[in-house]
Amino acid sequence: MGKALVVARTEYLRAVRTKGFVIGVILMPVLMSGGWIAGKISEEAADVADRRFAVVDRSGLVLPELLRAAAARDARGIWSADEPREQERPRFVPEEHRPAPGEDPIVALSDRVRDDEIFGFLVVGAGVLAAPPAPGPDGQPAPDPADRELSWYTDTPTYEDLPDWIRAQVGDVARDQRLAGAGIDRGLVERLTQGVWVRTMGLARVTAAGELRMAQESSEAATKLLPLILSLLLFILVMSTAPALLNTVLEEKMQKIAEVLVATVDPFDLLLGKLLATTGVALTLSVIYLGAGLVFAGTSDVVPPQVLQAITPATLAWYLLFQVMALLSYGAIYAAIGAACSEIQDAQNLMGPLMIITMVPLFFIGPVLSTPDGTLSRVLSLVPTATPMLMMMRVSAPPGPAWWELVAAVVITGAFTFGCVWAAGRIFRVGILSQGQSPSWRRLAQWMRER
Amino acid sequence: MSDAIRLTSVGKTFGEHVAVSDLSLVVPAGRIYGFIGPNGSGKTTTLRMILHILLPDSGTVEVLGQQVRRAASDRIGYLPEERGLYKKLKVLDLLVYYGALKGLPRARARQAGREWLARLGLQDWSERKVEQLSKGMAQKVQFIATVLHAPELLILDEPFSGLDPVNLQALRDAILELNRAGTTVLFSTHDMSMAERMCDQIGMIFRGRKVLDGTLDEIQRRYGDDTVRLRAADARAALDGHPAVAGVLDMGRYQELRLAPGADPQALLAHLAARTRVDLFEVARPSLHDIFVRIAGPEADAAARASSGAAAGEAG
Repeated sequence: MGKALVVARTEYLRAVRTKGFVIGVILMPVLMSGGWIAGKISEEAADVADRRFAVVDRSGLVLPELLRAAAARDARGIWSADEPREQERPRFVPEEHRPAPGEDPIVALSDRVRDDEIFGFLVVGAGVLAAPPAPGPDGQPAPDPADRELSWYTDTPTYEDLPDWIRAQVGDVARDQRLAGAGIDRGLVERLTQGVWVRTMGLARVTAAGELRMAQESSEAATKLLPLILSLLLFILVMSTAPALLNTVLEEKMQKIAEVLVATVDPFDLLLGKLLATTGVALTLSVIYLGAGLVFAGTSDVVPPQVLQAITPATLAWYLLFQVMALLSYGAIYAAIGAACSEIQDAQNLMGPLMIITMVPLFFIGPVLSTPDGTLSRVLSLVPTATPMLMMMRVSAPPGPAWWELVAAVVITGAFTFGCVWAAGRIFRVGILSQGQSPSWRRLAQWMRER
Repeated sequence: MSDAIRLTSVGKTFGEHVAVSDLSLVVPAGRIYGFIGPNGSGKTTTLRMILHILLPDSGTVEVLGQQVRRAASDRIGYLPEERGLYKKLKVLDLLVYYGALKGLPRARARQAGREWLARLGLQDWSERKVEQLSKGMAQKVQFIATVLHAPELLILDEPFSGLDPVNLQALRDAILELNRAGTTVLFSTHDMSMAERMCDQIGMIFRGRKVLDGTLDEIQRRYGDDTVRLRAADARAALDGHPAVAGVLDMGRYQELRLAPGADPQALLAHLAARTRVDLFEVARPSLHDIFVRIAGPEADAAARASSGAAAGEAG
């Protein structure tokens, strides 16, 4: 054990004293917020060229409304909120098209789209604003006349902002016209059709001292976002530190350092030292990120107070325990693969299945988060390869797992971790000095049994 | 005198391949023992069993008076044939790490590291990264890492390969000095003249079996005075299949002749003198090199294969 600690200390310091570690610490939050940054960049780089489109208005009522709405949008809807005001979105520019005698407007306008004169065109049916016919006496809906159609023609169907805007504008106009036609006040309709609002609350309870604690409004940030962040952080830290063990072990083999090491340290102590170092590195990162997160949650107005209340010492303790178990089990497997192979390519072949197993819990984030105490969530969170991530999510998402589930999770995952470290130790012992072709899974099983 | 290493009927097989078979070997404490044998004969496997990196399938391995069941005794220093160091570490940090792994307190390891670096002329390199060292320097650093903790037993696998004469001399002096201070040294080598000069005792292993064991004198005596060192103009033509000569080993500047049993060296000298100018004619014991080739050379190898083939044929 003493030598394992010497290995752990040296490898830990080697890892955290590198520039790569410092860069990684800064880079990970940047990568995690990659989606937000990409959104910002695409906003900055948005195409603001005018979207000119022709309108064949057979109703004679829609085009004036579109022109008016476009002018209003030009004035308010396409500029950035902050000073200096910059154009963020393109102008929509409707123009009237009156078909020449004998001309098929669809064909003529399609040619104009192909020639890049216009972005697309709209054909408005004559009766588009009229109310749909009332159902027949038997309650069956009456057939809808064809002249109520609104058709948008384009060769860029993936650009949906413009047809969405048209639909909204024409829809508004149609509703106003229909209400006015029926003699109904629009404001009254809006008030009468307003939806009801559901407040999601926690539960009230009476404390041991007999004091009543009223239910509090639950916060989505505390009940969904926090569990998601904690389990993703756990997952990302495992994925960013454990596979590095494969590389360091393989490097020691390829650079012929391994033989000196195993003549000096028992292979199991060597493996244990490496695992402790990796665990130390990941826990250091956890402390940095969780510490920064707590400081942010405590000082920022953006974070609701329920989030800080949800981060209890117990939550943090569970996080650390699951983090350690995940690192030891996955780390041991990666180290064993590194020891078993002599070439990077061979290692990658063996890594494939392991990567998939590691990723599986990710696919179940959604279902587990929406029904944390459902049967699927309960079963999956006891599968040892998924427990650290999914049980972490359940621990921090109300109502939380039952006590026996936590005990079962710790026992099963603890046994699994122990098994991984034991098996990896056996493979490591033989593999670290093996040369040549990488072994098959069968051969690895044989190594485990060798004396 | 007690024994530093005692192997008794040790065997080790990898799958179908018998690496070491029924090997018994004793290395007395305080001696320098040379371990020779052709490539693939089982030397490294034997060394790894002595170190308990590998466990024997049969027999017993006793090292420094103990039948250790696990690797990594801090009383042993081991320099493997294939060497490697952490390239990104600084030289002194690396030595401290290896010293700490061998149980030295860090401060003590640092001090010993500095002393050894100075002794081998590397004092200015202690704060440089290993990747900046030349090959010879890296080899010396690896040697220091092996001896830093003052081991009682030093096991060196091909310690001199790839060294220039100056570095070789420095390393040899260091090994001899450690031996004088009481360290037992077991080293494997392909350099027969080095083994002749340095070793108190020599063992040879061939095809997993021990074929020689003893002092140089004992070994040479066993092969008798049947060797002639000859330097002569156009020696090969002058010899011309003379029946007194059983074999010729070309050493470059001279030929080493093996005399046929019962042949008279004086008659051979007279034969040669009548045909060419003889610059050197020395009746001697065979060199270790010659003995090695007699045991493991192509002729011996072919004979061994033929006999094992015949045995297999008979068995079949």
